[in-house]
Amino acid sequence: MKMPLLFRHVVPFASMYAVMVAAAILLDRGLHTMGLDHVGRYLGPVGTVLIVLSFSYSLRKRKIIRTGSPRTYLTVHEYLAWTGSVMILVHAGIHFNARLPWLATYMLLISVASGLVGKYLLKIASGSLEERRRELVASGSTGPEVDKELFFDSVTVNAMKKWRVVHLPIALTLAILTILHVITVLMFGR
Amino acid sequence: MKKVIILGLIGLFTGLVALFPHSMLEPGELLEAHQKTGDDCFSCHQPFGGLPDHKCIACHPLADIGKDSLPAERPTLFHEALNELECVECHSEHMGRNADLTMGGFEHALVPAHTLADCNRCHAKPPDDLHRQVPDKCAACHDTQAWKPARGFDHALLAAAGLADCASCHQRPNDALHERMRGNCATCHSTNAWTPAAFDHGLLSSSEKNNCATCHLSPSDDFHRGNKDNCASCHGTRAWSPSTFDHAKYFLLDGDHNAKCTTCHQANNYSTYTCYGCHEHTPGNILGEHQEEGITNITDCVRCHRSGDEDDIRGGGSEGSGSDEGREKDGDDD
Repeated sequence: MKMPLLFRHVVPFASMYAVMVAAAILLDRGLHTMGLDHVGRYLGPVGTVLIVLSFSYSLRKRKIIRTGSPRTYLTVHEYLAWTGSVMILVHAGIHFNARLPWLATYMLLISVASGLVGKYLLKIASGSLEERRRELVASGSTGPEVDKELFFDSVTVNAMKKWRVVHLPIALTLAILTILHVITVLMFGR
Repeated sequence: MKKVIILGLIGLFTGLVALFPHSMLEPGELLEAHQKTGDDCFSCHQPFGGLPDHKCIACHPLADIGKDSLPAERPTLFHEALNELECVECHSEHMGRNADLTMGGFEHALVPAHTLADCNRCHAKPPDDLHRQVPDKCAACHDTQAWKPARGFDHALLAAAGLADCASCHQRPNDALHERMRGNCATCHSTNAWTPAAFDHGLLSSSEKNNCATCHLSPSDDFHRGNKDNCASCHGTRAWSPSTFDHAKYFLLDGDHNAKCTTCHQANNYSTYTCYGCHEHTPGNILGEHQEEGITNITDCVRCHRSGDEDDIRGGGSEGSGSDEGREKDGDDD
């Protein structure tokens, strides 16, 4: 019997997410150790620019940009958003100060999670589910038997689909919080 | 529908910032004295204009800064000379109600030269024995980076009486050796550094000199574990190495006998040895050879043999006929 989808795809996804958080923590520790913690201040704007550039994928999907392969744009979107997120996590550091930037940081983490689920895992998981369904039908299983066998995998895929639906509003909320953060820093900062 | 969601979210978060500006935006609590500014962030901040000096100076005239906090008899009011600089280069806020904001980023380079030359205008001279002896030239020993280490300290600055009384500044080491020493520290140590010390074993009494382990730790290697009694039989008092231990005094390690210690001293026990660790020597054939001479004790070989040369027999063998005693290389005993 094959491993359930949960272990084949969701666990690797969680690992990828954990690597992002671990990379941010290690980079932050490294900068502090080398006495370069002030660099974190500048990683915020750089990370934000990377994430803004990653939105070119949305523009391509909505045909505002008409050239280039959407698949390439998606790959660029994933790399730029992941790298920009690491930089912004370092920029945020472990400083429990004002709530607005922390809301933006939480929203960034949620946004990356929903993006990974919606665009990466769902595609693989749906493909795997269909492949298993074809295998079971080919081996002579009846419709109800196939549904029974794939019940847990179907539940997993449906749960993922709901995550995908909320990715855009989450990204939008992140954008609003980021803009407010930038405006208030420019308004009150040195 | 999408526009409603977007506008709703913008309205929600903008509203939160407008209604709860302190919890949403304030990076930390203000100093207690600044709390009286209330909720008016713009009493210090200028929208999109940073933190202009004139807002600070409106409450803190440069000529008055330090009057309340510095020593009353000689206050050093140097802020008037800092017109070119921004207040926030040294001072920051939102560090907590009781934070010390006055020293953040202080640089001595900002202080006018005539003030910088007189350290005691800001710093009190330590009231200890050492500083009572030295002149008021702080910069001769200390720099403006940190009080310690006092890199420039020179014992020549001390008065003769102070120089002779090391214990007025230095603590006598709390160990067995120094507890017995009653002389001047300078007998062994110099003013340049504590180590190396020019210690002379002649300062010790003869009983102390014979008890090396009182001060020296016995090396923990296998060889020294088995030889604890008389260090002086191998080592001198000038230096630990080279040692004077000479294995040839007991047995010459040449030719085939230049082997590992444990070949003869088995189980790392240097108080005993055996010659039966290799195939050349077996108790059977050695006994056979020696019985002809009337020798039956074949365990303590070096009693007669002091090298691998079987004709070099010079030990004090007393067993049997004793005819071998004193026989050296006559070559006729086979």
